[in-house]
Amino acid sequence: MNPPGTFGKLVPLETLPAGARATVRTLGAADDHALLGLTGLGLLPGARIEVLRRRPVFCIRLDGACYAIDLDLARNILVETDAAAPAPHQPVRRRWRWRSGRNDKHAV
Amino acid sequence: MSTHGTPAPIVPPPAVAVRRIALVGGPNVGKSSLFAALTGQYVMVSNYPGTTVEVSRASLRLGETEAEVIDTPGIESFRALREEERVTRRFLLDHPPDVVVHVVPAPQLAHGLALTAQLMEAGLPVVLVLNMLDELSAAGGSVDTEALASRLGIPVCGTVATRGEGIPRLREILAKEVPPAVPPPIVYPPAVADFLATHADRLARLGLPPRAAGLLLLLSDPDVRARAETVDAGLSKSAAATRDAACPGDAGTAGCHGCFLASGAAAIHIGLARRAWATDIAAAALRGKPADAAPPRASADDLLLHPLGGFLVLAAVLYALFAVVGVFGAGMVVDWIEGHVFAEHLTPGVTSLVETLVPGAALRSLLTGTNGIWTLAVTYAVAIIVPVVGLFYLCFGILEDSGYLPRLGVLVHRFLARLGLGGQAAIPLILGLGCVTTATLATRALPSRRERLIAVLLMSLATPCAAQLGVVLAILSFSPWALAVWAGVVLLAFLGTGLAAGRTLPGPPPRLMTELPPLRWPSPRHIARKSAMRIGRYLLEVLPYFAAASVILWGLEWTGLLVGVETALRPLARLVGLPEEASRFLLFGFFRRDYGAAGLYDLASTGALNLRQLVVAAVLMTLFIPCLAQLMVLRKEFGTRTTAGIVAFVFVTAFAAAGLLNAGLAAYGL
Repeated sequence: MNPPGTFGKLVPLETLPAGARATVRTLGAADDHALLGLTGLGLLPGARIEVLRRRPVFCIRLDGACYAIDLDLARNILVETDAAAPAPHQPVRRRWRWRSGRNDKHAV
Repeated sequence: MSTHGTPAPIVPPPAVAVRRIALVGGPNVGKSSLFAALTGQYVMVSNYPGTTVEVSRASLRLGETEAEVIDTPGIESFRALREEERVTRRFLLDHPPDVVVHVVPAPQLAHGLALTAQLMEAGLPVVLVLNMLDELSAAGGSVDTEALASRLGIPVCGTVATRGEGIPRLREILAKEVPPAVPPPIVYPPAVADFLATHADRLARLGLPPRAAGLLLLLSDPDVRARAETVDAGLSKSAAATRDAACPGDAGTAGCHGCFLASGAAAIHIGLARRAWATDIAAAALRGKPADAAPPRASADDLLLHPLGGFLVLAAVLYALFAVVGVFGAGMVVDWIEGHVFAEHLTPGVTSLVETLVPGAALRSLLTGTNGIWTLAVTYAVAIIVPVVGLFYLCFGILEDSGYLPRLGVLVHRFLARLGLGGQAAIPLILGLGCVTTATLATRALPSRRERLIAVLLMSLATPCAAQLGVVLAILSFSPWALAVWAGVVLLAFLGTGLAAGRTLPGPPPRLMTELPPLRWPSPRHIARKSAMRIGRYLLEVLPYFAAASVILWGLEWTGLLVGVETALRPLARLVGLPEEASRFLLFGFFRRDYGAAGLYDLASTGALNLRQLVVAAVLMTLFIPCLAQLMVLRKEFGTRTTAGIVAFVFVTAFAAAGLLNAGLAAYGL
């Protein structure tokens, strides 16, 4: 489920919960290599993605395929979330999720 | 050298030449399956990106003509980022094949077409194959290949390579002449289009298809840039200017919403232009496919990638591997084959046969003496190494085909990141447990030279190959403490080296960016076939080494030099508290790791070593010397200087660790 009030705003991909759907707007990868890697996967402005899981790394669905990207990359991708949509598996998954503040500590 | 991309081929192919058909496509799209379906020849097929890191060939009969089919490593884009991608691109541009078969998974048509566009821009004779049609129809979709073919202007064919569907039609297409493709009408940003139009003549002088060369130059491709620097430095400069102005918005200064960093503008807008073209074409060709299919709800990934559950599964997998390879393989199977089949039946038979048939003591000892070809080469390879390595490959094959390995990489990414490696490095590292030589090649799939270096360093030093692992488990299994000490020291060496290398080696930070292929049930038939091929190849690779080592040792013995060499190695053995006989297994280890392992197994079974010496010898053998076979691969992949550095490091670390361990254990009175 998308956080309330985020519809239409640009947020880092990193902040999205599992189950959220969004459209990529901006890629600000740290270097050429990373940027070319992402565009090579088809992760371009306008691409529609869905967050499958956030841990151990970000897993996203893009064009029917599933990709894993690390948090550093996810932090630099700005997305626009869809209008709030129900996410059926949310309550079950919540118990197993780590606190969201821990991302930064684990970033390498 | 051939120049191409111009309307007519400048160098006509010689009349007798075999038609060359290259299979090209993204990673893990089924190129190798298609290769097998076309030619009937098996190449390694797995369920993860990066299985094929070398070009492999097989011949194919097409009606009257003979053709050669070439399987290539997967590429995401013409702008190569990894070594395996460069292998493919170099191959395509330097020796353009007569037909380029682009394999695209039908469910990801739009994504795949972006690479089709690049192959067409390079003026290559492209045929598009839509593979995995079954997965598309399972998702409720279908594709109109006729419409696609007329839109693209190239032959298109649908297949299910794993079941052989669509192969007859593909053979028909391949039997005919395929003309070079015309660049597709992609609308690039004005600055990019201007650059390509204005400099077409100068780009042609780079010796590459001009349009492809121009776009690669704008994407800062190091190979093409280097070529431009030497041929036409001005061109390189205007490419740099175009790169900064590639964004069509805001007069190209501040960049648009999508590429607010000017440095990325070219990559993003070239990608967007290709994407728009591909989406348009895919939308017209796809029928009845839900645009945004819902993901499966309860998936095994919830467990496999769970922060706790995932590691429990990993522990279970490793334990199963240990039980099958170490306990069953190295323990029971080796005991039975070596102690029963060889010692009681084969060896006496062969020995008496040699004695009656072969004249001369020298020749007889070459065959069945202590260091003879039969005694060392054949017995070691068949009785000790093959059961262990074979069982390892069997288990590894199951892991590969299930799609578990990329998930393992994701699971351990954060841990590996501290060692300067991305999660993708987990696959070559585990492959290193089989044989370091093949694993060294597999590092081509890693994204940077830095990661490749760290991975091979860890493999050379602290990753025991299956043969070593099996022998260590066999000789130490009677004492859990000894096993724990050995594992602890090796792990310490692994972590210490990784942490130090991760901090000191220059290069970009590790990144994880990988596809997670769907989980599939491995097919027993396929696993059996793959393992059999791997064991066959392994035997073919090791037997000559073993035999050569036997001949050299035999020669040394007859000339009396062996004593000298062993005497020279004695101080090394003494340094780590090993008896003099141990210098022999050290010598064996120089030839091949597994040979040394088998030698140690022999030595230990004679009871010449006490517990402390066993542990020290096990540690020394695990850490010690990348064997001759690996040295050659290392030199080919990384150059002489780097290889020398790795060898020196491994040598010093191995003896230092073993010496310290020996002193430490001795201090505790063991």
